[in-house]
Amino acid sequence: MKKENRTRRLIHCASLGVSLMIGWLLCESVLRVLVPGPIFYSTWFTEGVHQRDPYFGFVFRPDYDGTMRNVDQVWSEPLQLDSGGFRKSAVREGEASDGQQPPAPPKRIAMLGSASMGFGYGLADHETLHHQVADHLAGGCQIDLISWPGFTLGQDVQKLARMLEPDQYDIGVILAYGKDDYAFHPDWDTIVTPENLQMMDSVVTPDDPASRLGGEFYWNSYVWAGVCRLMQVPFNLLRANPSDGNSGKSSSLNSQLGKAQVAMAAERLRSLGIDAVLIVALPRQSDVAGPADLSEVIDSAWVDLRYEPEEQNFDWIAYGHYGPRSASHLAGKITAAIESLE
Amino acid sequence: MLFNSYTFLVFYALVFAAYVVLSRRTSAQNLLLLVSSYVFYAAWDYRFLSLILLSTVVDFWAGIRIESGRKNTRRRWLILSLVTNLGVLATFKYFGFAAQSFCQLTEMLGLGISLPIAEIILPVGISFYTFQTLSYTIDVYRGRIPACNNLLGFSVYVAFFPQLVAGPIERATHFLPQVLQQRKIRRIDLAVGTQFVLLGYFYKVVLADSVAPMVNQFYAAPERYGGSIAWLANVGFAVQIYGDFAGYSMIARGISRWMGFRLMANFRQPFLATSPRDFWTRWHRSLSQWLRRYLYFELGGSRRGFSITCRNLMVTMLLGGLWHGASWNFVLWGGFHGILLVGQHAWMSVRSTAKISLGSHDERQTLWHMTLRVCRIMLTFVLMLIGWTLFRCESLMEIQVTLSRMFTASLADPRWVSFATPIALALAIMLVIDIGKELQKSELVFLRAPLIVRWSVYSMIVFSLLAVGFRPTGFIYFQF
Repeated sequence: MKKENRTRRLIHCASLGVSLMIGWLLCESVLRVLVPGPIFYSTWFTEGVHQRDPYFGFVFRPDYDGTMRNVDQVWSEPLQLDSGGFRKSAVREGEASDGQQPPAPPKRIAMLGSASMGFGYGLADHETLHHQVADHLAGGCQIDLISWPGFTLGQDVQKLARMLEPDQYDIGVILAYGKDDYAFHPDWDTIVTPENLQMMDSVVTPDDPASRLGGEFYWNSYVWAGVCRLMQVPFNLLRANPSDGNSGKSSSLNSQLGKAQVAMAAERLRSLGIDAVLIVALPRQSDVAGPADLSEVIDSAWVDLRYEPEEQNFDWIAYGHYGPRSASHLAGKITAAIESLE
Repeated sequence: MLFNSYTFLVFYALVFAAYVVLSRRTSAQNLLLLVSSYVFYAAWDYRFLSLILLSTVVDFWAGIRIESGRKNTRRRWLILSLVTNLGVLATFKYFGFAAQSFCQLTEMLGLGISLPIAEIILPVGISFYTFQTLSYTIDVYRGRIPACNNLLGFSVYVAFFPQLVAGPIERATHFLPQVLQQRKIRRIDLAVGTQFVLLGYFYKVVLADSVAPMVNQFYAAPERYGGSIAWLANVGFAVQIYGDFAGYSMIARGISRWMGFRLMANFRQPFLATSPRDFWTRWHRSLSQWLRRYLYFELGGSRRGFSITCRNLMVTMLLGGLWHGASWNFVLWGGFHGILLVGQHAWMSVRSTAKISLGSHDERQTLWHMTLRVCRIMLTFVLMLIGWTLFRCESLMEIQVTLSRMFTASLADPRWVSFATPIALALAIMLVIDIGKELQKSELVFLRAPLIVRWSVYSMIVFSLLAVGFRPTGFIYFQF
């Protein structure tokens, strides 16, 4: 009897072991189809979009030809970068008046800030803000877009200074989107090159503590990665939200110590030889950043578009980025503001 | 507090542990359930607890008065209950919509009357618990059930946390006796509950939430996609909403079953429906049964001739659509289903009059019958997809764009593979499970399967949940 019991128990244990193996394999197979691509690191671009850079840590690869995609890889949009690694400039030829005089020289505009929102993440070239502004502007123009996803306004200003010739621009357009843009940061344009930059398939990925816990196998097994992430949960639940603390600190710093980032960026552009600077306060899908009255923190020309979605039928794509309709609407408003500068 | 959150898991573990400690003490268990239900609801918005309390107190007293009163008194108390519950619903859910529609109408007529439209927050689950309490007073009035004189038990019936915010809408005849009687936690209940909970989380967290980004991506800018993706996105939405809602219902049933409660099955293989009418016996059954019993039958049902039946069907479905949300797209969705049901009713009338038969009894077991059944299922599925478009779109303009992508745009779109693969897999998994249930005529497909199959499936689900983790996505039906 005891022997039978033991045999039955052994069979049960063996069945459990086999079931766990089958379950693991099934899970890995199903999830690879259901959630295509690795879900444990950001895959906003196809491979090869980034390259290491001694000054900035990483930059976008010149002449990159790939696609933007969301992290679930269910959507993608082709992307080609120019020889500087920037999105293609928007060029609009001026028309000769009466066919007699040559057209006026095109206006040169540099547009920077707002990281992926300014970059037009998810949008085709002709749908981006800078291309649509060029379409709306009267006369010839060339708009160069400095913004890159993952880059701060301070870094954009540094890029402009180091990689381009700032004094060739007639107008600088600073796109403000994040809460930090309206806050004071003493080290706003300091570049801190990350020491352990994490790159998967030449795509910079956010630092993930779970991956350090899981080792190499983390990147190969959905289940193991999930276990590692689960082990992080108690710490995450106990940890206070760091971003809330920072924003409170920033706003108090702002009122006590100095100017908002956007205002300092505007000053820097003027010191680099760009005479006219426009600050554009862009809307967000979830909330409104910055103070109700922008004149509290900005002393340059500005246009406040933060409340536009309340009035207009905005479309949001690629996890909260502007869709073509939103970009078109915003571009119309930005164009009007640029024209009023002159 | 979402079911798919670690906070809820901790909350439920604490409640369940206390519930087990209080075994055989029904009143103490009910008190625990009531307090935990109120805590659960207060985690959404404590201010709206007052509405639940109002509904509870009014319907409790109304029930007692209706039972003991004379004819006129009974009616008065019933009206009080109806006015209170529907008044709360009208104020919080429909007032803004009605006022806005009125303003738009006057603007179209050139009158331009503007009303002050207050921003009213919609209390979560209001449509569910309002309908549940309404069913109680109506059943007491109709003499189908005696009035409940245990306020604690009745309060638990109204606010029972597993089904408070998204159903199933339980009738008092079924659920109230379970609240009032002593409950036992049996091994079989734990096993059944485990299957429901695991499958529920799998439907919601793994299937629905994985397909959702594709659907959202399409609906964010439908004009950017070709016809093939428009159709695929709608299939994706069907998978998403089924996984989301059925997942919620299964989790609710599972955690209730662990505590000895049996909630009704809200879904019965809806993708295998062979007609629109069959669909409504399989989809959101607690609502469709409520509408049939308390609205369609009260209007006269199908007993007063063809045209009255058609009218009743349309009224029931339009109001059913409006129940889902104060928006014209839901009215359209209800109207669309009303038209389908009227069409089917007309076809069946013609068939019975002309004695048209699609095969004799013997032939029904044949391949022809099977083929016919599959064709019916597919046709019904396609019709439901068109309906889901109306349901998912947020404006009439969006409906127009989406339908035009589905029916007039070119099917060609090179991105269709990235949509098709995951959606097809999620749909296939759901179909395999549903066909298994249908063939076995039981929901407990895995419980009845050989041990190694059951454990493999369960471990696959647990591993998948571990791998995907809880994403902070709410349930679609919470908004209703």
